[in-house]
Amino acid sequence: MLVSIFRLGDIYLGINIVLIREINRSSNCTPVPGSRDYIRGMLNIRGRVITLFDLKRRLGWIDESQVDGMGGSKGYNVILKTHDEVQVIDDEMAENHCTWEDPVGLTVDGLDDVMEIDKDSILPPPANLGGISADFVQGVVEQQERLLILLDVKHTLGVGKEAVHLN
Amino acid sequence: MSQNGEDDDLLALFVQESLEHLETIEPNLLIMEEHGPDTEPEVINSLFRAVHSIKGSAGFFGLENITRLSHTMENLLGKARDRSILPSMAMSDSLLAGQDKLKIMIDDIPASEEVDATAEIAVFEQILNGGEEFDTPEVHAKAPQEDTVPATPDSPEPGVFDLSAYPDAVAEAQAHGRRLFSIALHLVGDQGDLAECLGNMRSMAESVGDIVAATPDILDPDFKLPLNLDTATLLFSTVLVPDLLQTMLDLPAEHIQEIALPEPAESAQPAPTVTGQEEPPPRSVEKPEPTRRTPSLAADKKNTVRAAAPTVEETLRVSVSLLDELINNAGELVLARNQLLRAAAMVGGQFPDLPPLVQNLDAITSRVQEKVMQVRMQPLSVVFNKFPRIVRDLARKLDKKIDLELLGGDVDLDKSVIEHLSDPLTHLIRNVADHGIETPRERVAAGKPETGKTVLSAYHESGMVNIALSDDGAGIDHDRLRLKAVEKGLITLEQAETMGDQEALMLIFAPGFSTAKTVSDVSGRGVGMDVVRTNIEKLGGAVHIEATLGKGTKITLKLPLTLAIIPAMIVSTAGQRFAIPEVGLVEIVRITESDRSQRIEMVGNAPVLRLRNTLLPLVNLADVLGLQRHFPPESDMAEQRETLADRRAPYMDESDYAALAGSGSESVEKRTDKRRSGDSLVAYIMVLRVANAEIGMMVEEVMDSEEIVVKPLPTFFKDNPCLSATTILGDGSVALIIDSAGVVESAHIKAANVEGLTNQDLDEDRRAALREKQNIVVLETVSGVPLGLVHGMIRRVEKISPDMLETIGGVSYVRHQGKTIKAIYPEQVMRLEAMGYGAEAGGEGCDLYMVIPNLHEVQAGLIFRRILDTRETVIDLDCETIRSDGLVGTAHIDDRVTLFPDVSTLIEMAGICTPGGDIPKGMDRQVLVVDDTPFLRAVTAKYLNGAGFIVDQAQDAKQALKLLKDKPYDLLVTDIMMPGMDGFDLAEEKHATRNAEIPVIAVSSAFSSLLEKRCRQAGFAGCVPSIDRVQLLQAAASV
Repeated sequence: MLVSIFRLGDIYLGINIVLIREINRSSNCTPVPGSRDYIRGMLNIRGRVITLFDLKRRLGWIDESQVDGMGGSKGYNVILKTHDEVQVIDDEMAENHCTWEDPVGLTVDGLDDVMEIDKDSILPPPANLGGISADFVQGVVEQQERLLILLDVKHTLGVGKEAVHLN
Repeated sequence: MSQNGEDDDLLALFVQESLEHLETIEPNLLIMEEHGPDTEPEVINSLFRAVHSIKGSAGFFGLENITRLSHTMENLLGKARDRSILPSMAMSDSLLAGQDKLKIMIDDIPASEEVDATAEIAVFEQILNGGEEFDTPEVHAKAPQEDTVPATPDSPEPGVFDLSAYPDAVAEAQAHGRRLFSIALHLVGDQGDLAECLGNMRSMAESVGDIVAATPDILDPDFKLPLNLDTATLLFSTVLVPDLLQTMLDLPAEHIQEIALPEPAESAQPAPTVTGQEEPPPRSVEKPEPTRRTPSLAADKKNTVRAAAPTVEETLRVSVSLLDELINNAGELVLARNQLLRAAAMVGGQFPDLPPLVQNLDAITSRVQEKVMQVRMQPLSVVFNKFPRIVRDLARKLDKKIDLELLGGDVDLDKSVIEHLSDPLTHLIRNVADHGIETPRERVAAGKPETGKTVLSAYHESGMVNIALSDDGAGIDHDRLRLKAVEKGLITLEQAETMGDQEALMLIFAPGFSTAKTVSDVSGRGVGMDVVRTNIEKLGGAVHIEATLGKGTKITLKLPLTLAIIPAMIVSTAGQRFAIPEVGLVEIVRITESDRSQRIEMVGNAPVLRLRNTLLPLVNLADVLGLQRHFPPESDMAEQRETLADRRAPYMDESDYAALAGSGSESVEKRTDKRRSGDSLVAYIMVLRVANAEIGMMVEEVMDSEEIVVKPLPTFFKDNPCLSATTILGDGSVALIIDSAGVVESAHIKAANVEGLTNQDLDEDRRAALREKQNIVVLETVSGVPLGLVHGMIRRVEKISPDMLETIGGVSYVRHQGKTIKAIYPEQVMRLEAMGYGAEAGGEGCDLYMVIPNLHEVQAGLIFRRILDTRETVIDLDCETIRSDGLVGTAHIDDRVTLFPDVSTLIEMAGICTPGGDIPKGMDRQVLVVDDTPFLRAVTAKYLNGAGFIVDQAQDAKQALKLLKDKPYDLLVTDIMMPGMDGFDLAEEKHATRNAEIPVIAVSSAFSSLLEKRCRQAGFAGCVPSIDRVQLLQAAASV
């Protein structure tokens, strides 16, 4: 499968490119009072209201220096497709990996390659990985000088049946 | 036929279309019922076509039950069409029942086979059979050949069909470009072969077209093949050309003969049908006419008997989500246009060609948006059309005569509004039929026509759509409503008396209110009207009711045209912008620094705004949303906030309300400084009307009023009751739309009942704060004496003009709100002039203030010239320097000696009987009063002293215990909340003293039912609120 790779701190995260709608750098985000701390707020992208997840907070990196040092306007917003949009492309994918109906986005620090990943090379996630709970990891791929972590987007957004809530 | 997955789409289409057909059937059946034998053929034709379409499609899907039922209905309608059975009440009744059954089946296709329709079918057959018996010879003569042709089976020549006998087939053929053929079949072989052969031929033919008729009638399931039959002829309608048909049916060319179609009577050109099906597309929605239809005989014929003609509208079926997307993008286009306009205005001078281009784009964009918004609009007739049937059924059931007229069904409303209107309107209509319209006998007795008239009308008014439902029925009895409401405990007797008629009418919208004498299954469960109002208010609308007893009732619903775009006020608080829908926004009050202390007060633990004559509970938007409020850096509020905040509950930090309400003499200087420095703006209060209550919501800034496009709230935030939706502001950023009802809910303000708020349980911290401070109002008497009154003594303060004062026999009265209240000048009653006060002369002609004391059933008010201050402060009461009847003591407020009178004594001194006046006296009994607040202790002691008790005072439990050890007492009156040892501990400790057995009365400024319960459990003789003389003395007398 074709995976788009993003940098978050010093780790590399992969997201199936089918799930990605677009990437932008807008920082004009409206915070939502009373929402969970990992929700940065709402973003307007051509008339669609996108809920923006702060990926670092979501992954439990609550170290403020880390968040503040690299977050903010320097990062990128990865806007994801919704269930209905994915369904047009890949029914199976939509049913199993893209169950959210609302337009959502994730914040990342940097952009990297897009590369083809052989399904056989995906390994099951180790219990704890660079401070990321295994719940959020679909699998890992060993590459020459780095470990690529495939993000389980459904669990990250907490919208799956077995939704994970970090409280 | 099997129903596999691929058929699902088709099946859904079938369901949708069938439902649309059913919708056209109902109004036509009602017309038929009314006009009976005079029903225009077109109505019956239309009915026949609709049922036929359903039957045809159901047959295609193999839905036998539906096919069977619709088939019998079609048969019956067929007879009615050819007038062999004349439409009758029994017929329309049975057809309506059949239609209902069909609807049940079609609503749930998978279960349709289980639905039992045998009863309906039996009724149809009975009419079908009975109809033939009653048929008169003339009717038979008029009947077309269809029935008579089989009687002459020996002329099966091709071209035997007279097309004029089949107007439907001809019309359909003309409309859809079909051809009619006469097909000759030569039958050879024995009985069995023939039957099979005919069956095969028939199914083959029906797969490519319709067999319109046949001679002999092989279409009749009961048809028995005559022995001598060798030819049969079919009249066949199909879209196929002759060559193709010939191949399909595998017949020799000479057996198939095309019949030339007559010229179309009207220029019905073949119109495109989107569905690709043969039946005419649905038309009920697009046609405004049906809404004018009324089941009334008396109504204008021209308007009533227009049936749904088989016109072909050029319509498209488009999914709502696609429309939403389109609307969304149109909204975006408007935003982009606005940005472009701004940019163009700046650079326009440099590029002369640009402004006209931009202007053109501007105009086009506006048109696009307007049209796009119209796309979601639907005529109200979609909802209205079901009511004639409901009214008819109800009228029958209730034995009443009701005529319903529908007006303005072509008024368009947004789909989202229409969808939510059906239930509330149905309820209202049921109510009218059940309670509004009287029985015919009652009506005649009242001099009205037997038939009750009900009008449901829709019209535009000031940007809203009004839907009015009026009747000429019994109306509503205001007094009965009042009585009922008192009975149900919804209002007090007092409220009922003062309530205006309009207000009384609104009572029917109160939850749990129903005036029906008996509960019927039609309405009167008492859960209706409040739900109606809630639903309408949810849509951003309002309900209004007018009624005259004996004349009728009119209920008007005011609804917004659309929910997709609403007017809203953009405000900002804590540096973030929010949109507040203007629906329900009553007014905006601007509060400046100098106003603050005067108008914002603390009642109990709740901040209120004194707005005109009402107390408005306040919430701060930032607090409710959990945002950090911004404080102006130069403000001294911030430090006050810190000192107070640690003593107050975290959830609603109202420290600055306290500051607003005045927080002690030490801050007075600062405040006066600020006053001098000018009116710095402090806050805006959005006065919101939620349900029946008004609240004030404080925001920092009001920016603009805008028409905003409502976008749904992402599901991640659905659990926040304060947010209703989102919108995109002019600069492209997202803003949240505030849900006013949710804000009130989260702030725990249940109603605008401020008196209720005073009784709210206070948490420990706040009790501690209250114990030391009193909320006081400092007023100036007409002669210029400052008097201090504690909030607990005051029910309300009214502003009165001097001409409301009248003097009768040396006593002044105030006429206020229709009541005569005795006016008391406190300085006169207390004879303050004699004590050297009151040198200043009162300003004549100025407005005065009347304080209504918080004493039950006392019709008297204290008259003052003006309110000097309201604040929460420590009263350092001096009970010794000045002694006078009715005076509790004096205290320094703003370096001025202020007298603190006891209101109840004052009233008594003025010669007005107070409820506590006849309480038995204390008979020299010894009582110990314990309270750490000097003021309250002094008041309590004063009350008891006045009632004949001999009073000792103690400032805390320690001192009290000392006294209790030394001296015998008859009664202990103690404050509950005291530092160190509280009232409960004291009562416990007293067992170790000589006064172990004496009764205890608890006094508390934080009085609540919870506290009362605890006191009872602790074995106290009573628990009374502070400064309530009557309760205190009653409790003291009872021990």
